[in-house]
Amino acid sequence: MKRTLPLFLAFFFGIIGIIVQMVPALKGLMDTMLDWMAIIAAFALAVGISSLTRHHMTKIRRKHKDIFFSYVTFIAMFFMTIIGLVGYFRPEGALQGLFENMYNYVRVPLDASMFALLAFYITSAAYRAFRARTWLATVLLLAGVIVMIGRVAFGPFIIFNDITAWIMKVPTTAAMRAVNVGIGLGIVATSIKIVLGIERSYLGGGE
Amino acid sequence: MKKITLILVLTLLSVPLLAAQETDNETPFYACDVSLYDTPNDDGISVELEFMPANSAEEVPQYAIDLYIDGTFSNTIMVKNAGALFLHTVPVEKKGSIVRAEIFAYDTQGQRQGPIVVKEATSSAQWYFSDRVGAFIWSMAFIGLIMVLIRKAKRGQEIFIRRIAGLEAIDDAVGRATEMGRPVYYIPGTSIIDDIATLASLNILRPVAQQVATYETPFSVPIKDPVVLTVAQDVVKEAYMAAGRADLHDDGIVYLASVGQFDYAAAVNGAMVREKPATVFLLGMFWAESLMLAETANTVGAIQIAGTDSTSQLPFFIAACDYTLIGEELYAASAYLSREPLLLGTLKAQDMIKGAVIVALIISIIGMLFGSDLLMKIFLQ
Amino acid sequence: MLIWYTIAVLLSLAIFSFLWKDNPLYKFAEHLFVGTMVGYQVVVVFSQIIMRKIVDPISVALDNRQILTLISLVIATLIGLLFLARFSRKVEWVSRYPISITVGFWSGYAIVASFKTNILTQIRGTVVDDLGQPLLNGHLIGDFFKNPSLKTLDLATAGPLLVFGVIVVLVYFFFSVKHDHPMVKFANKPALFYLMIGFGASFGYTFMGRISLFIGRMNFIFNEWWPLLKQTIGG
Repeated sequence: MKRTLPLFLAFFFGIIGIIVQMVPALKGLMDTMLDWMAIIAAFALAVGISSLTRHHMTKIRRKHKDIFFSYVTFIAMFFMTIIGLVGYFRPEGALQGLFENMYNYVRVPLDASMFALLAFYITSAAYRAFRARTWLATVLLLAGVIVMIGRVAFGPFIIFNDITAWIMKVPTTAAMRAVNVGIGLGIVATSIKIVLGIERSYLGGGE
Repeated sequence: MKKITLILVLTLLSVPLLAAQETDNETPFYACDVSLYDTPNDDGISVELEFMPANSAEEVPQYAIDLYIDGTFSNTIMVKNAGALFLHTVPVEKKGSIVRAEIFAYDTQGQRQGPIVVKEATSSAQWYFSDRVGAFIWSMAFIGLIMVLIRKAKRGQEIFIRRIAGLEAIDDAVGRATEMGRPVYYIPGTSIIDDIATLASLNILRPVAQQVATYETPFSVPIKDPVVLTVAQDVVKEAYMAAGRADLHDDGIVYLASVGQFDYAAAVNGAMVREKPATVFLLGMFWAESLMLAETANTVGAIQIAGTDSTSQLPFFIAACDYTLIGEELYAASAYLSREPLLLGTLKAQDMIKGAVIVALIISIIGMLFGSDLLMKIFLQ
Repeated sequence: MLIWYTIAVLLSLAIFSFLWKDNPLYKFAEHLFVGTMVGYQVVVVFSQIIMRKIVDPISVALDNRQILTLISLVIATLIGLLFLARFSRKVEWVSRYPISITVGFWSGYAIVASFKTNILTQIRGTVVDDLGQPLLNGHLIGDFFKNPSLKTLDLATAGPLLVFGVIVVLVYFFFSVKHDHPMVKFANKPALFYLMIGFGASFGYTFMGRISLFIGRMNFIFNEWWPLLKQTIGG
């Protein structure tokens, strides 16, 4: 029950997964299965929230110096949940407006700012790559610099534009294509191993 | 002589045709090309309609298509004559439905003329995706090969696997954290469980966790997706038990850091600068957050062992991390680390299928050099 | 409105302050971010899954007496509920059932689809281009010798170089072939060359896009919030 049934379930639903990919006539089954997966996954959120709560409760219990911030997380979480749920049942109410404002002026700018930090991270990564002295790193860097210039080139530098187009069209496409084929083989092999029960680490592994 | 007779016959025949054309010029001739056919690769609940006007927009500004399903009128679709192909999928309730399309033309006065064309089609369900047969056959061959090689591996046949630097480094990286008394972080990507890369990463988590437990190193596994969380919790717990260090296991090792892309990155970055891990594993599927995590790990002086199957993020890992598993190496890692004959057998099978794919590529190219796409159609459909 | 805009600007600055060092402002923004997103996720799961995929369809199925649909929905919900077994040490292992069902299904689902899109489509694209023209095309090579120029050289060599690159990189990643195998030895250097050009180019290609993200954020602060602030205070 503890080990064999999960392996059997993985096999059984794995076969269903293969079948719905192959048989158009079973589209109804496929839609049902996709709904099932969404429904099943939804309940895991309860486990997730309990884990997050536990993580912050431990900090609070241990009187960690950042205790205040754990409270911030809790308050924000409850606040957002409550105004969201009330807003769901009363779409015209004030709380729904507040929920939308929280989304637009808290979540969106935080998201956008984190994303914008990439400008700095990518620069520092490029800088470090600059210092590497192997021939491979040099090739990487050279291609990177040419393409960077190529994307904004004008006037006498327009030649970089053509070189960039060539680099993207020939060597980059070739490399990415082969890498993708390898990934495809990896995905298929891993999936087969799981369906056949050869790979069972996801169940905690062991026998 | 024969030729003259032929010409005469043709000329005679063309007289009535010419006459017919003249009469056509008097009354407008409405025309269109319509095909109505069962939707391929579906479960029989639609048919496809392709409609191409043959009159100019001046002659017929608009067409109407009356649709009947099993003899009952369903609806009318008005089509403006733009001289372009009009495509429409007609949904039906059940397979085996007979769909009839009657096309009417509207003349310049707005009068409805026709039906100028009537077409019928029956909806039916298909039992296989015609465009996936090739992939299916290849996959089945793959499964068969895996089974054969597993049997060989079980009999104790040695399978050689080349060295993968990123995986060789795991031992030292965990050892380094132990010596420095700083934690090891393991980030199994930021995708959900239906991404096979996530599963591949969870398969690597097992041996890493076991080693961390053996060395008694502090361990932290921040997670983004709740389902992945449940799996990772099991994996780490069992790994600690297998290492005989269940006493060191704590439910707080694997935790949900957040649920979105950048909030997760913000939380993990914050945790990293505060706890200063000595080793950070970034294995799985990543998006733009890959570089944030890798760079932050670098600023706190951690060794980063990264790996992803996202071709758009690989360049960042290669530039920013100490070791990077490229694409398929991520998937091979679990076999490599466990050295389990069964898993090594599948790795060998994977190589053989790859060899076959390369051969298929080469012979398809040769076929094309001789102007034939037959081989390509057979092997790469 | 100004209040919300100001909150947005302050939070943006708090996030940027992380570049200087970890500080209370960043910690606040980070923890607020996590709390908000988790709360938001609860609302999304409630409205999109619990209501839309469970409660509403069940009531429709009850009204229309669709017994099969009802049974299917109830079973899925029960399987999902098994996750909650984690809260008890004794029956914790029951939560493996939903895990193995999900993992098994997605694995099976990926097999044929990945073989098609990741492998066959890519390989096919290495035999013929989007227009169905072969990549190894003798005519194009002939054209180059008839009329040698950079353009005809590119046309003649692009296809062969692409095919060569794909094959050497594929060979480079073989796992079970020894390093001194002549095929692998031959492919090694050119494969690394292709890979590094490819990764470098992708890096460079994204670089400019990332820089513009930061410019976009600054634009929000200086061109949207600042004028609004001036207007409100001034007017």
